[in-house]
Amino acid sequence: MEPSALDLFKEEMSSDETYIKVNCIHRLRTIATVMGPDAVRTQLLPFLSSLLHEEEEVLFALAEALGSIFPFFQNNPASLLSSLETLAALDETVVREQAVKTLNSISSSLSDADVSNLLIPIVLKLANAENFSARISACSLFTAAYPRAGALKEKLRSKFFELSHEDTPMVRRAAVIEVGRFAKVIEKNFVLSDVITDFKQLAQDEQEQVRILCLDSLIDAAKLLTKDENKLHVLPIVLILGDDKSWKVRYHFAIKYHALAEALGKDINESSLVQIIVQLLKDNEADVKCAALKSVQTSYSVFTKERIQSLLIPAIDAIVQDASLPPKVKNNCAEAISEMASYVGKDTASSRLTPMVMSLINDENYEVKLSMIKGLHKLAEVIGAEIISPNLCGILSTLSKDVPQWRIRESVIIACVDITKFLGDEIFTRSLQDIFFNFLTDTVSEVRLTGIIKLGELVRILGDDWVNAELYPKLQDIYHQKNSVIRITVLHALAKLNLTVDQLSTMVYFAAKDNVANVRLVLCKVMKEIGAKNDISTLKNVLQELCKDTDKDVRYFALAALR
Amino acid sequence: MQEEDKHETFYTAETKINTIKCTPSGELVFFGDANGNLYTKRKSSSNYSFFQCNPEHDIDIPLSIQSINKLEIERSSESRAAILLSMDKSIEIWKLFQQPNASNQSKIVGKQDKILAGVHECTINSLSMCQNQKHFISSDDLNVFLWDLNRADSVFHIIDHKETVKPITEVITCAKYHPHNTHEIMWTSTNGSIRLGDLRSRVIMDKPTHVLKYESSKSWYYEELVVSISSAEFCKAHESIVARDYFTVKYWDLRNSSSPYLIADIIEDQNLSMSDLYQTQAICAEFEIKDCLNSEYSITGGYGEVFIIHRTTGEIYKQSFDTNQEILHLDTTEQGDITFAISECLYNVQLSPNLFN
Repeated sequence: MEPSALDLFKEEMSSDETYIKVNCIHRLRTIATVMGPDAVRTQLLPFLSSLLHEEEEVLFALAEALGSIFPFFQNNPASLLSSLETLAALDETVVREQAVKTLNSISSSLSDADVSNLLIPIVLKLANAENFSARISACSLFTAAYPRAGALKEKLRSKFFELSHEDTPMVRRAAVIEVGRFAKVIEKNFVLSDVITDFKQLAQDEQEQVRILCLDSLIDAAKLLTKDENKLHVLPIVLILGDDKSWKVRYHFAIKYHALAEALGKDINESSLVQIIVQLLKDNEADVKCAALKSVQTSYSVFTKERIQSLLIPAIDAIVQDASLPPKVKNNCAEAISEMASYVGKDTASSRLTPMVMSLINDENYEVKLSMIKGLHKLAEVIGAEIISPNLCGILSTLSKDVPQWRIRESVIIACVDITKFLGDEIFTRSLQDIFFNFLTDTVSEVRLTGIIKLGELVRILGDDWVNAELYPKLQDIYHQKNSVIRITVLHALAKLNLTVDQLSTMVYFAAKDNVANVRLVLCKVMKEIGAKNDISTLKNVLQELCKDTDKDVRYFALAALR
Repeated sequence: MQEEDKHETFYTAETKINTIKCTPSGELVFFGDANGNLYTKRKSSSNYSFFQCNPEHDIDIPLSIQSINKLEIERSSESRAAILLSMDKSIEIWKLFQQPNASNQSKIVGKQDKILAGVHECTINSLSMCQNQKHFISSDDLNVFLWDLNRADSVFHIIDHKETVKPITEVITCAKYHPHNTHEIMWTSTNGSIRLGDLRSRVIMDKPTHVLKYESSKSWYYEELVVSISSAEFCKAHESIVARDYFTVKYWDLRNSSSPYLIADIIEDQNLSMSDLYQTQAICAEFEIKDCLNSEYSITGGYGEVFIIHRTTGEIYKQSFDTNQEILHLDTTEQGDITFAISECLYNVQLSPNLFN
């Protein structure tokens, strides 16, 4: 006689290997379909109930799989729900969280009667259990059960708030995570009376984690209330949290600042919240300062110009002046200042931001320097030509030559080009050009490569006139250096330009006769590149000569170029 | 001498037992030995299960067998338990649960869940679980780390001893969490000082909130070795710390911490020769001290003896066993029984309820 699907299932489940059992459970839906609804109810589920002593991974898969066979129990879900209830009361976090998830997703498919007669008693039973894990699970079930609770709403509400005031901190923690979502489904008048009272207590809970999670839920709740209600009820709680004794809470506050400001609206932000973020910028702990700076960087749109000028700039200035701070703070500072430029307008940026920028570029730590250089073009966009003070040029010049960190040299090169996009050719030729050309002779290849890429961009900005007047002579100049690497760089640069054949030919002839094979090789590659864009057929004879070169690689590339 | 209701039971591990931990109800006891075996015993049943925590290896390739040094219960319930144990420089998390056998008996099955390695550079000397069941701290000679069990890939370096104490004249011996306050920790060191820290105040604890140090009146040649605190604990039901160094047990009141309020001399030093102790390395023995559940007394071991010290009166009750070996590791439950180890043997002794009358 053929073994039934259930027998096969039982056999696999008696295996010793965990992965076999887990795979088996993942196929539960198929097995149920084969067995048919009656057999599923009378045989499969009782067998599944006997598996509740298994190890964590099996139970986790089971919690999920029970959701997939729910359609078979549509009309009579009692036994299935009770299995899920047992799983939701277990100690292992992953298992009970999955069981809760399944229960929540099933609840929308349950009939109203089932919700009242089955689901809600389960929720209340878990909430009253002795085992704290069951109570934690219960917290996450209220939101789904409440809307259809009918007469039991009062009971559910009072139970939920009872759980959020429990002695056991883990349960309070689970409850506080849910308060925001619960507030969305309960009636508004209860939000004001019960939820707000709840928050007031939780914001002063002795457990740090509870206070941190309180903030998140608070943001959710604030979105449901009007501005006036927020000002009256939510704002005081927010002020308490922003001033908390524990650095973790303040850190979290700094991170969530933007979301908070948006939820509470511009008025409240103007009057009260901005003070808190300024305070956090002055916090003792470097990590809190960092988080505050990061938040400020993304939230400029919620501040008025006046506030930025009067409050934020002094606070950030204080950070810039503080020599004792770790580099990561100043790093974030540099980014914050760069972003700020477009929000404060030319005058402020020029008068108040520029000194800070100079200070950070001169900082000892190279990462800070790097951050600031990267942000320069944003400032250039706003300030215009005035940013290129002799001071700045001097510094950039030093940085592009003497600094041992090649990343800084590279970023200076990039900055020169990016600034030029906003400032035009005159500025470039006058002040930045020499600094830029340093890339040609740099020792690190990465810098040279970046320089060449940027050269392409520069040519597009400045046009052929500049190429002929400034770039080409410079390239010719540099070409006659002992170092073959530099000659190669120049050749690569040539590929980016739109030179006439005459201009090209001088260099080409030189390169073809070069001693170093590498140079000749690069010449072939470059000529192929130029040939794809412009017509250089007159120079073909050079390539043909190179086809007879002594070095075989040169011959190869010459041939390739000719095609 | 009172009449004790002694009830000794006897289990043998493979080699020297290094750590013992009982669940408060006394239902389960876990202990680990020097060969890396983790043992579990149910109080009600007579047999016990054990699991080998070292990875399996080829007999031909010599691999250093790591011993289990410290053990902490993450959580335990009737049918399941999660254990943290430290092996030299790494921490392992084990999940244990019961599985019914074919013959309707239940077998304890253990599975290694995670290995947290590569963080400690010295041997781990203590593990302590926080009350919120999420965090725990682990300490070695120079560092204390804070771990989050939900995010085992990130660890927080909260105390860098090299920064706190410059130059280094002492090292950390033990670090513990407060049993109720999730933000309070303490760490003890070889020069007899106990430092308290509040995790809320700063990100990195470069300055402890409080330092408890006992200034001894006599100063003598071996002082440095003798004042080293081998083990300390927060009292569960009273705002005190109990600490054990070689000769004494000291109780400190956290609300009035200028000096200890009780010093109990455990080992009378008349018959001991300090140079002998030093030469035989006996002075380095690390005796554990444990606080009983309602903090009425604490228990600690000696040489072939277990001492029970009353917290307020300072009375010392001594229970002797006919051996001279040191009893380093022990634990107690709320029923008032003591589980302790002499070398590789595990014993359980029931204390009489009228002990201090």
